[in-house]
Amino acid sequence: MTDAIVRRHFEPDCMITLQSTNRRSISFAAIVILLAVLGNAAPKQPRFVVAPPAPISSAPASFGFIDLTKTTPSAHASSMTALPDGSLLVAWFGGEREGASDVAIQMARVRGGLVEDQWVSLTRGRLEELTHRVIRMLGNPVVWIDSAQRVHMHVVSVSYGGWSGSSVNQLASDDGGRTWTDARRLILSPLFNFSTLVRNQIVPMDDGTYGLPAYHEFLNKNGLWVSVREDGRVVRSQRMQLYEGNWLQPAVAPTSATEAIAVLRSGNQYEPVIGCNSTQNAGETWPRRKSLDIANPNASIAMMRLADGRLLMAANPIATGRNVLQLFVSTDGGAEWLPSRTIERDANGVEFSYPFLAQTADGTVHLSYTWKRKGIRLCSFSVAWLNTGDNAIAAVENAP
Amino acid sequence: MSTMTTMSGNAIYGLLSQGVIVAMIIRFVREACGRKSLAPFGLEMWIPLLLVVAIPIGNISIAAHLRGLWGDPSIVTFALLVLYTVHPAWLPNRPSTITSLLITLLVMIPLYGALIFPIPMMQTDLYSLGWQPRPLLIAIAVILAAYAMLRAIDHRWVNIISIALMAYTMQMMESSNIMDYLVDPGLLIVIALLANDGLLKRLRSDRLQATSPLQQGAST
Repeated sequence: MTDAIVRRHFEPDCMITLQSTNRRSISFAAIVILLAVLGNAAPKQPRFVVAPPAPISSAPASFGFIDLTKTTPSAHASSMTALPDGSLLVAWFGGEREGASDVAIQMARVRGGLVEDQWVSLTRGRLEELTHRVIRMLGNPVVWIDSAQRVHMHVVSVSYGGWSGSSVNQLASDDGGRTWTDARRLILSPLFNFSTLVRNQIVPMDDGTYGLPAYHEFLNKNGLWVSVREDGRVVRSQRMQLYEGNWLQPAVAPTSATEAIAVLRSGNQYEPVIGCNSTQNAGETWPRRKSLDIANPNASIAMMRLADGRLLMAANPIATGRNVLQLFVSTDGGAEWLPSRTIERDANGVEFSYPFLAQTADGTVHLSYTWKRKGIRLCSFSVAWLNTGDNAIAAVENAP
Repeated sequence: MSTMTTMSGNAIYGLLSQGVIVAMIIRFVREACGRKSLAPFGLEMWIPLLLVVAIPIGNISIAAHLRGLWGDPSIVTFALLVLYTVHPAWLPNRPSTITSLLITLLVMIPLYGALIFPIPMMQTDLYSLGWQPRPLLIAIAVILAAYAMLRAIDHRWVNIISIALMAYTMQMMESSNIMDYLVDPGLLIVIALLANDGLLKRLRSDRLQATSPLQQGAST
C-alpha cells in the first residue's frame, strides 16, 4: 500500500519540477498567505460593558401585569429590550403551534403598562427572501438594540428536520422591528452549520462587539459564547466547558469588566438543577462551576444584572413541571441565590415558562414569559417590590 | 411587509455553488453510465447552474432549497467541482486506484472527524482555531513550503488552497471561520466521488480491453 503511494506521488508527471508554473503557484500562495496573516491580527480580548452600581431605587413597591393580545392559538419564547424612549419592545413566536408552518415572529411595543402597537414582524417567507434559503420553522427571537439605537434580532430557523437542525440568523431593522434588512446566517458549526440555537439576551462588549449566549444541540447539549458584530459577522465562538450530560440555553450576566456568570437549563433527568459556568477573563474561557441548589425541570432560565449591581434570576424552581415561576436575587455575583417573589403558581400541568428580564431607565424591572402556551404575559415591578411580601403567594393573584 | 431584498456576495456564492454541485452530479452520473460529454465550452456546467438558480419551487429557487439542506460548500470543494465539470484534465492528481481511494478515505474521515466530533464529545475544539487563524495560516505556509521543497505536491493544489485563502481574506462566504473555506463534509464526498470516477474509467477501460480482439488473442 505504501509503495503504491510512493510510486504515485513520485511518478515523473506528478513531481514538482521547479518550473515556471510551479514557481508562480508557490509565489501566489506566499503572497496570499502573507496578506491573510497581515489582515488577521488577533484582536485584543474585549471586556464587558458594566455600568457602576447605582444606589438601590427608592421607588415604592409596585407590581402589575398585562397579557399581550392573543392573535394566534399558541405563543412562546418571548424576549424584550428597553428602548431609549422608555418603552419596551417585546418579541415572541406565535402560530397554530410550535413548529407549525404559520409560525411568525410577533412584536409589541409597550409603554406604561399599555400595549401601544402589536404586529407580525417576521414571517418564514420573508426570512427565506432575506437569507436565500428555504425556511420551514421559526423560533426563539432575541431582540436587542445597538449603541446607535438600531433594533436587531437573533432568530432561530430550521430548513429541514426538527429544532436540532437549527441555525441562528441575525437581522437589523431601521423602523423599530416592523421590517428587516441585513440578514445574515451565523455559521457556528463545521457540520452543515446545524444545531445552534439562541434564547437569552446579548451582552455588549467595550470594543463594539456583542457577546451572544448560544448553545449546540447536536448529540449532546452545551453552552456557547459567540462574539458578533452589529453586521452579523462572527468574530469568534467559544464553547463553555462541558458538563457531563446536557446543559443548554445559557443566560449570562456580567458582574465586572472581566467577570460573568452563566446559568444553564438542565437537560438531564438525573440532575434536574440549574447548571453554572463562569468567566474571569471576559468570556475567553468559561470553566464549569458547581451547579446551583435550585431545581430545574428542563426549563429556560432568565438572568440579568440590575442597575444596583445585584443579579436577578427568573426560573421554574421545581424538579418536574413548569407550574411555578419564581424570582431569585444574588448580592454576591451569583454565588448565593435567595428566593424572592413568586410570580405564578398553579396546578401541575399548567405552564409558565421561558422567562425573560429587562430593566428600563426609570428602574422598573420587566418580566415576560409564556402563559399556558397561549399567550405572553408581561409583569412590571419596582426593585423595592422584590424585597417585600410573602413569596409563597403568587404575585399575579394579588395584583391590582 | 415585503421590501426590496438585495443579494450579497455571500448569497451569490451560496446560490451559484448549489448549481455547480448539481452540474457535477449530472456529469458524474453521465460518465458513470459511459456517456461522453456533448456540450462544449463548459455548457455542461452553465446550463444546470442557470436552471437551478433560476427555476423556483414555491417562492424560492431550487438552489435556495439545496442551500437550506446542506449549506454552502467550502471554496476548495467548489473549485474541485468547477474543474471537474468544466475541464477534468485540469484537476489536481487524485486517487484512482482502490488502494489510494481507501487511503484517501482513511485520512479524510479522521481528519474531518477531528473537526466535527470534538464539539459534542471532547473539550478540545479545532474548529475554534479558525476564528483567529494566524497560527493556522502560518502552519499552512510551512506545510506548503515543506511539500514544495520535497517536490511532492501538485501545483494545482497550491493554487486551489491559495484561492480559498484569498476568498477568506475577501470574506466571500457567510462564515468568518477559515475552516469553512478550506474543508467541509462535502469535500470528503467529492474526493471519494472523483476517486470513484477514476475507478469507473479504469474499469470501463479494462472491460473494453477484455472484449477487444487483441485482448482475446493474447489470452489464447
